[in-house]
Amino acid sequence: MQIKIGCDLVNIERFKKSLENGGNLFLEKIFSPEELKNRNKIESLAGLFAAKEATFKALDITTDNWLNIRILKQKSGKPYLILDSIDLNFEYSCDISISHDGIYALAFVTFLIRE
Amino acid sequence: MILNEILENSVKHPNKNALTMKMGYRVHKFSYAQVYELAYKTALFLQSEGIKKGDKIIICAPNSPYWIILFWACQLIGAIVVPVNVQNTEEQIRKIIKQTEAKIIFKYIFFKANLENIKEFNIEYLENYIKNFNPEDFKPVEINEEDLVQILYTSGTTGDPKGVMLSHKNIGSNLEVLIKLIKGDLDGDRALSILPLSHIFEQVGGFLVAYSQGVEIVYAHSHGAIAELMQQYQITKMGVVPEFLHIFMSRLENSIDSSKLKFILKPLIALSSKINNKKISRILLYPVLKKMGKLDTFACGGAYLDPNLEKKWNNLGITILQGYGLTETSPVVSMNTFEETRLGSCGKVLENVQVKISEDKEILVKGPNVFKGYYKNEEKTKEVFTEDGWFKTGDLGEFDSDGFLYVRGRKKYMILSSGGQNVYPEDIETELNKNYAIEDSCVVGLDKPNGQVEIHASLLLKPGTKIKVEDIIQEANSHLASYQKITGWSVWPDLDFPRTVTRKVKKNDVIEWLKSNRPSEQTVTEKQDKLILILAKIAGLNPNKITNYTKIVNDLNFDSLMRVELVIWIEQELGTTIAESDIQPDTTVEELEKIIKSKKNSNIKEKLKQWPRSILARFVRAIIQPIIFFAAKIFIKLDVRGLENLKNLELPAIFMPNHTSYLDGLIVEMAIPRKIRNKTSFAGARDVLYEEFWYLTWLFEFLFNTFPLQRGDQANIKMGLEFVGNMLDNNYSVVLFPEGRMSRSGELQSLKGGAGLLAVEMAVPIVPVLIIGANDILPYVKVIPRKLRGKVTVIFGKPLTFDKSEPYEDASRKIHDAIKALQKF
Repeated sequence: MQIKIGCDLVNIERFKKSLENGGNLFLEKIFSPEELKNRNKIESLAGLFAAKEATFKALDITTDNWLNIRILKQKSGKPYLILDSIDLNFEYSCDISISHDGIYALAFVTFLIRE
Repeated sequence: MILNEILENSVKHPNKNALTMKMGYRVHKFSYAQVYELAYKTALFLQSEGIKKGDKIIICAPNSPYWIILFWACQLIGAIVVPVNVQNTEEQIRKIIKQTEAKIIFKYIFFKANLENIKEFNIEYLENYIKNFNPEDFKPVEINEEDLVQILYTSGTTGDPKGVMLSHKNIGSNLEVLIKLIKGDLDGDRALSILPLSHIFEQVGGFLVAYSQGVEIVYAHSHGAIAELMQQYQITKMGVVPEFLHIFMSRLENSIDSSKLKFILKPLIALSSKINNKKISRILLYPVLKKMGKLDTFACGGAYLDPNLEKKWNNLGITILQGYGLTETSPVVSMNTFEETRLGSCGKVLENVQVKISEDKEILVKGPNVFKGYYKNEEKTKEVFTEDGWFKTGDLGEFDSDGFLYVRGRKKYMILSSGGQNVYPEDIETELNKNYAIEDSCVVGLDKPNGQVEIHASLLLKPGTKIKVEDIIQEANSHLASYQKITGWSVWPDLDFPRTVTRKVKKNDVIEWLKSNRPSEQTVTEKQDKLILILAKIAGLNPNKITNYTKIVNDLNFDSLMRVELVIWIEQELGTTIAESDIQPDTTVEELEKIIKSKKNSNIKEKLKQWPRSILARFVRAIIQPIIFFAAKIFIKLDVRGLENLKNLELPAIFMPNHTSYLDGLIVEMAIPRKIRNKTSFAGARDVLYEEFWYLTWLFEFLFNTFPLQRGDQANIKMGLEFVGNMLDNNYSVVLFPEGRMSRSGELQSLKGGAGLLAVEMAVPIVPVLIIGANDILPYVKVIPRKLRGKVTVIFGKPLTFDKSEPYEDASRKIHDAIKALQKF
């Protein structure tokens, strides 16, 4: 058994600036339409961004994988994470937690891995 | 005239294609009858949301057929449309919401803002919102000419946006004359729309005129696709702004220069310009023009058009119809027509519009097309009308003796020279832009402390040009009158000038910048490399601080957000897609430049092969397939069930069978009824059919109309999805294995998200298929059979359809369960 964790902090104002500069191309690069469907607030997108970045860190994979990580919401609103086409070669279970306050959004990701 | 008449009249040609656009992976075509029906359903939906006559509805979305449907729905119930350009900032949109008290905003999915006091809908899901309404329930709402169609917020270069109120009478009166002018000329035409519908020029010229004539309007889904769409749809007419004509012409010239036929083409163009006959030009220059479909006319407006550029297009046999107008005049004041056109002019004034040139040369307009005023802004409204009711356009102009209008630019940017003469910046810009090293120029008057005025030229140089700027200025000055001569100049430091929606240079911003950052006049300048300018822009640094040896991440402090931005900028400005992971902590500017160069060649888009669907291939296939199937039946005893589920199947569809053996493909093909099979294609895993068995690829393509589907990460999958969409668009059904790989145990594996994605995004029925027994004959990944003869059962399940808003995971699960359930059959 092995634990991997990742965390990331995003400045919401900075994120918003990138969003304005890159427009929908920026969103298309990072989020799937599915993720955008029910998220209208900038801070929740910044949180999602942080969660994906945290996942890169936890799994030590490159940032080319934005679209291979999808973070969706359960009915209760709790986020869950799906990895597409990232071959981990091990069984895992993971959990994710996102928060924001003021100008920062924050995310934690934990992977529990059976080797 | 009430605009609604256009919608009502459109059902005279119900089956004609009205609106076409590639949305997601599929091309969606809406006939005139479909748009009509959807508009009525949308009207009912809006009413169910409490919208009444006079309420405002904001549309903040790029062009699409849904935009048009929504526009018509608002007209049906008398709601006032407030179109908002997608480039508006969140703050501007908040202001507009506050001023208009709009009840609803329809936005596109990629628009993200924190808005309050307004109900938000995604325009992409319009068909979902309206599906339960019946057009027959609609009770007509009385609309009259004075009712407002829309409040259009101008992209005004200064201050707060102003809402231009336009009524049915305003727009209708303009349309009536325009329709009369082009009557009959648009039969069989196809228009490509590339300018935003939130702009009046596109709305009237691109949409309403075309719609009233039954023209098919194709909406460009991306700017990168324009050239491809022109060819694909054999486009004949386009509404454009001058900058487009400029860029397009430079590309054409480049491609001619690098063409092997250069030595023939150049004299041909020269000859064509002498003959001055469009038909002959089109034949002579076919090799050049074929890249543009059947394009014969550009309607051009929105900004000043350089007559030299217009002439170049005319030399190719392409008509440019330049017009003049403003949002406030809904929009056309004057225009050139096919019969009467004069180079450099904006044509004659429309018959129901009056134009007067004031003493200080300002163009004044009166007529039914002139707007009612700015919304909730009487002060500004008063400012733009004379006491006797003429609208002051703020543009300078003059007539020639035959009544053609020549527009000389904005009044406020006219420079009053120290000697008291009027200097029109456009004249000087035209002179400067003749120079090959100049991408564009912007001439403004700057007040000097001694009360004199400096005629200042800011130059946008072509990347990579090393030139003495003084020489350019001297050259231009030698062609200018003494009072026009440039007395100060600078090199614009950014990638481009700031521009409005119609790509007009925002001169105010240029002036402001020049005033506060007065750049020194370098005598020799080397235009910095584009990549350095991009990096400087993202990092917020002076480009001079960046050299070839600067490390992007370590020296410029690029974080992950900035890297994403960088990848996007490189894609847009340099036309190359790189991966974020190409940018390592110590990658230097020079190394990145090399990476971009190396990727440039490998970025060529793979195209779907066409030959497997040619008449010949289909004919031979129709003969050979039965022979193969006959032979196969010696070894395989095939039992096909569930055929009744295919009876009313809406085609095209996607067949999704489980996968346990290399035989599966053949077996499914055998089981599908011939009528459907004749128009079926097969998605083969690229790494197997196209790489492992590369020597057999042609055979698969020939026998089963196979195309490659990449497994692996999303970026690569995209190409395969494009292919699937393309097949379905051509009415070919698709067979694909949703598990992604063969099942070792024979049990159905969980489906990849890709299956759900396909089901939701392709918007066609999904047929679950279960194959039992194939792996008894030919086991998992084996090519040598275990036994010579065996029974195989194929069961077709009930087709599944999915809603656009369904999560992919749910769709995948449903397909999985449907295939699994067939085991109990």
